Amino acid sequence: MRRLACAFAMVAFVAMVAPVVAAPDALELVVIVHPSRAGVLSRETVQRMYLKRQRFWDDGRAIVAINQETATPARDAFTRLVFGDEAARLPAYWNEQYFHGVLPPIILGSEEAVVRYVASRSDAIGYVDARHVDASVAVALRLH
Amino acid sequence: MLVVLAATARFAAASNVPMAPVEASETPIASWATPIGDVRYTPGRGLGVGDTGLTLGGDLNVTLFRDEGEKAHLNLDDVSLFVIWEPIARLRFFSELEYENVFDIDSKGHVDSPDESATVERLYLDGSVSDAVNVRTGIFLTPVGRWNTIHAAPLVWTTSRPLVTERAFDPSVTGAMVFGSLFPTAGTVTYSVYDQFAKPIEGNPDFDPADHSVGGRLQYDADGDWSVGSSYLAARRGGEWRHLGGLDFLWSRRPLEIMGEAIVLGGEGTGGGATWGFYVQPVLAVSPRVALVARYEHVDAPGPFQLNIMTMGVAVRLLSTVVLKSEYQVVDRHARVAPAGFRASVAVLF
Repeated sequence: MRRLACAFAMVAFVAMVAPVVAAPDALELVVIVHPSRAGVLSRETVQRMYLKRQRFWDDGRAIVAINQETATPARDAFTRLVFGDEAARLPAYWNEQYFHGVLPPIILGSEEAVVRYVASRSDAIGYVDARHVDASVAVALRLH
Repeated sequence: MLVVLAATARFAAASNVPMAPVEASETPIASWATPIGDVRYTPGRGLGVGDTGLTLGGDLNVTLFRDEGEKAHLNLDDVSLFVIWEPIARLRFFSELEYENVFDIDSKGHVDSPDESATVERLYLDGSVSDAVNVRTGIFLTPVGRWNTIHAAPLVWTTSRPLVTERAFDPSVTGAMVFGSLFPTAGTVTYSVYDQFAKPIEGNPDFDPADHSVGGRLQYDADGDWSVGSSYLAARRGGEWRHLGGLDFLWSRRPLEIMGEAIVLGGEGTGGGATWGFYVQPVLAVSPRVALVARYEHVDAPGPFQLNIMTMGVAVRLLSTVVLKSEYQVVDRHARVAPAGFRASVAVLF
């Protein structure tokens, strides 16, 4: 009986704690593009686009990468999932790029603004929490 | 030296210390609404002038140094102003106007302005056809090795500069360059091919550029943590051609970063032998803001000119765009080009 009570207590504890622990990973981030560009992008390609190493789409149009404000959940998750260990080197990377006249991607202030911008421009790429995606944009990559 | 760094690296790796402060320099600290759009100033990213595509910025460096047996000096040795203009995605104008040695105060209180002239460090226009094909025309940094193209004080770990990155070739080229990036299955390959066919618009009388030079560079960046590059430069002076070949690498896995470059310079007019040299520079981040730096350099030129230079120091990143550096350099023989002594500096990207 004591073992059963113990097991029950453990299951109850896990059930209570698990959603809290899992909360940061519950954010499903998606990379979005204009519907006319429907297709899958790799994580490496998205990384190159956000580092401005790759500046043009396959059709020759210039890529406009959209970032979100620093220290927002979406920005933090994107940086972690796309850049991994390299994230710590990003400030130094952008310092070097600035020295060469290259500025970081532009920033929009909300997820809704990112969706609206990407929906209106076929050369844009952005990322948002999957819950903000609608039919006006296409998902190019899911990040977990 | 490497053993000590490796041992410390194991300790720092266990504490998961990143290589640089993670705060991004992206938030404007001042913004004004104007008829041409918002004018915003972001530290380390310059002043963005509305919707014009124009950005003004720069960097500066103040150095305190004392060579062995000499007086100490406080020197404002570099103020650079950038103008960046990107009216459309396929066109970018960039210029850097540099004031060097603006003032100098020695430990006796003697104030001097060693060089009041401004030099056009860079002035070029980039046109982009695609990622693989871009054309640059004007004055640009010579793409030999790594240091020369990122030589600004806020971007490097030491106040002093390795000899092999500046004395064997002209720091800039006035001419044209074709460059671009290719994306194989993994990583990025970048190339550049350039030709110097004009004299620079330089105010620096000490800079005596080659009559003509041609060169190229090939670099591979893995998506992960390493990169290798090779450079070639042929330069003609007074009818004599000299050829320079170089190899360089960067390896980084936090908290350790190792960078190195090696060059060989030979050809006509080199005094009957080749000049060669290399440096290896490990950097260990011991906290998010503090890094230990060591560098060993060897230079071997024709005649009795061999140098071994050891530099040990510490760099503190107060912000991602402000770095405080301190180092001591030891040289195995007296050499004016690489004096032994202490150096410290504050470098700011603004």
